[in-house]
Amino acid sequence: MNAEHYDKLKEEDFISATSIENIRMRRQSPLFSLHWELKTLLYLGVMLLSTGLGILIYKNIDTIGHQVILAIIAAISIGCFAYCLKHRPPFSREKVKSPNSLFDYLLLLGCLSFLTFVGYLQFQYTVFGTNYGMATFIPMLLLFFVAYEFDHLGILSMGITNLAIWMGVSVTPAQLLSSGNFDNETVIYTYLVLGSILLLAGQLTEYFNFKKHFRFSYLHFGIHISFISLLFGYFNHYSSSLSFVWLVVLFALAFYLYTDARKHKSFYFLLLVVLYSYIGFSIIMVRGFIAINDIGAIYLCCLYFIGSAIALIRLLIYLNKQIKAS
Amino acid sequence: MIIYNKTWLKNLDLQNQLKRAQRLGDITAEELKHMEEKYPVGFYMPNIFIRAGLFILTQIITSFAGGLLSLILSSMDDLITSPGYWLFLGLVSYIALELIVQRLHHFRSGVDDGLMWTAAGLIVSAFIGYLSITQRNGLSAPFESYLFGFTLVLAGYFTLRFADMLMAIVSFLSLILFLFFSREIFGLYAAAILPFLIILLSAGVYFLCVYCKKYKDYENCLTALQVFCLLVGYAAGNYFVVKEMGSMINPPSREGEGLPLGWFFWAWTIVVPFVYITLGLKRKDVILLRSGLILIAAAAFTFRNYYHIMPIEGALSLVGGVLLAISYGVIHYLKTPKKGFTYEEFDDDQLMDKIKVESLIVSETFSGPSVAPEGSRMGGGSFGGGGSSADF
Repeated sequence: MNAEHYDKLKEEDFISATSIENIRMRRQSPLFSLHWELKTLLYLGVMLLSTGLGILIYKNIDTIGHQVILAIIAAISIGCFAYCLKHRPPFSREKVKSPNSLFDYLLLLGCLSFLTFVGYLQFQYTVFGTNYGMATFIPMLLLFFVAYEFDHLGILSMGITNLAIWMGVSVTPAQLLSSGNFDNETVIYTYLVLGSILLLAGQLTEYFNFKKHFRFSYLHFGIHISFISLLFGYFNHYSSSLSFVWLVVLFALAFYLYTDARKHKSFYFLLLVVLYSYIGFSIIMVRGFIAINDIGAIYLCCLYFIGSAIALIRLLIYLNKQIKAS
Repeated sequence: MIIYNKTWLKNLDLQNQLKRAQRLGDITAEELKHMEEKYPVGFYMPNIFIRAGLFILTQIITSFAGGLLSLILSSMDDLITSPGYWLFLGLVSYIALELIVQRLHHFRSGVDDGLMWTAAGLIVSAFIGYLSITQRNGLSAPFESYLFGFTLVLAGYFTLRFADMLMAIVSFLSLILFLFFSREIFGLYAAAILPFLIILLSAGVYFLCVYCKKYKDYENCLTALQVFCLLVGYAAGNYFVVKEMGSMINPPSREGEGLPLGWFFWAWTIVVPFVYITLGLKRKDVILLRSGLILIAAAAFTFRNYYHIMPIEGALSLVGGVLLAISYGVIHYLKTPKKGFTYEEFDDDQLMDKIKVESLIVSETFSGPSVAPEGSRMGGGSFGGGGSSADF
C-alpha cells in the first residue's frame, strides 16, 4: 500500500481502527516473498537433473558404469518417495494442501526417475517382453496412483498424457506404427474414445465427490481432444454423405458442455466450447459458400465472418456478465 | 495524453491494493466492498479468457472487413497495393480503437488490443511500402534506420496514449535497433564502441524509468521497460553476443581471433547477473532479482559455448542437483522469516490458480521424454499433451 492511498484510507470513516493498524504494520515491516523464485529453481532443478540422468543412461548403456548410474537413479527415486511418505499429509477425498513446494517437486522427481528406471529395464532386459502396452501401462498406473494418493495435479496431467500414449499403442498394432503407415481412422476413433473417457472421468470425480479439484485437468484435456478429433473425423469423411454426423455430435457435445460450464461458472471452458462450436458452424457455412460456386459467394463469406464475429463478441460479453452476476 | 479516465485509473490502483490487503487479511470484505462502491471503476475489463476470445474475434472481423473492402475496390488500378490505401486502413482501425475506448470504456478487453496492433501493423506496412516504392533510391541512411526510427515514434505514441506494456517494449527495442543500424554516424570506430553505447543507453533508460516511478498510470509500462533495459544492457556486453555481432559487422581477418578487451566482456558476462541478484536482494527489488536469475542461465550458456569442461549430460545433472540443494537450503533457512524475507506465498494470483498453470507446465515439459523405451512410444506421443494445452 503506498503512502497516498494509505492517507486516503485513514480519513475514511468506515475503515475500522484495527484494519488501519494492520495496514500500518504491513507498511512498516514489509516482507519480501521468495516463493516464486524458489519454486522456479526447484522446477529447473528437477527438469535438468532428470534430463541429465536420462541422457547419462542412454549414452552409457553398453558400459559397466551403467549399473552404477541405474543404482543412483533408483536411490534418487526411493529417496524422494521416502521423503514424501514421511512428510505427507493424511489422505483425504477433498483437496489436500501440500506441505510446501519442495514436497511437490521431490514427488515429481521421484516419479520421473521411476519412469526412467522402468524405461531402462524394458530397454535392456525387456522385462515386459514385446508387450509394449504393459511397458506404458505400469508407469501410467503408478502416475495415477501417486496423483490421487499425494494429491498432485502435475502428476495427474502426466498420467493423462501417459494414458494417451498407452491407448495409442494398444489400439494400433506396434508393427503398423513402426512401418509408418498407420490408419488415420483408427487413430481418430482412439482419441475420440480417450476424450470421452476423460470427460466422463471429470464428471465422475464430481459425482462421487472424490478429489473434485481434479475435474479441471480431466476436462481440459478431454475437451481439447474430443473437439479436435471430431473436427478431424469430419474432414476425414468430408466427401461422404454422412460426414455431417460428426458435426452433429460436436454440437451436441458442445451444448452439454456449455450448460455444464454455465453451471460451474467456468470462463475458460465456456470460451473453449464457444470457439470450437464457432469453428464447427463456420465449416458448414464455408462449405455452403463453396457449393454456391459464384463470385458473389466470396462477398457473402466475408459478410458472414464479420457479422458472426460481432455477434460472438456480444455473446461473450453477455455471458461474462451473466456468470459474474450469478 | 493518456486516453483513459484518470480518476478511474487511480481508483483501479486503489482497489487492487485493497483487494490484496483483503487477501492478506488486513481489512474485512465489507470494508473492501464499501471502498469499491465509493471509488468506482467504470472500465470494461473482462478476465483473461474472455480477453483472449475477444482478441481472436476482433482479428477475424478486421481481416475480413479489410478483405471485403479490398475485394470491392480491387477493380481500380493500383489502389489496393498503394501505401496510401494501407495507411487509410490503419487510420480506420485507429479511429475504431479510439471510439471503442472512449465511448465503450474498454480497458485491455481484447478488442482494444486487437485494434491497436492491427492499426500499428498497417501503418508500419504503409511506411515500409512508402520507403521501398517511392523513395527507393533516395535514402541517405540504411533502410532499417528509417524503419526503426518510425516504429520508435509510433510505438512511443501508442505507449503514451494507451499505456500498453508491449508497445513500451517495442518502442525500447526500436530505439536500440535504430542505434544499431545508424552506427555509421559515430564514425570509423562505431562498431567498436557500439556495445558501450547500448549499455549506456539501457542504463540511461533504466534510471529514467526509476525516476519516473511517480507516474502511476504507466506503472506496468515502466516495469516492463526496466526488465528489458536490464536484459538488453547485459546482452550488449555479453561475450558471445559481442563476438557474433562484431564478426557480423566486420568479418574477422583470421579464424579464432580473440576479442579486443576480451577480459572486460568476460567479466561483464559473469559478474553482472550476480550484481543484479545482490542488488535485488539488498533493495528487495523483484525486477532486478528475477532478471539476475534469468541471466545466470545466459552466463552459463555463454561459458559452456567456449569452454567444454564436462559433457552436457553431466553438467545438466550436476547443475540440477546443485539447484535442488540450494533451494532446499534456502527453504529450510527461511522456515521462519529472516531479515525481511519469507518463503510464504501471500499474494497468490487466483486466476492463475484457476487454470492450474503449474500442472499444465509440468505435464507439457515432462511427459514427452524419459518415459519408456523407444519401441513403445512410436506414435501418438505428441497428440495428448502437445496438441491440446498450448492453444490458449
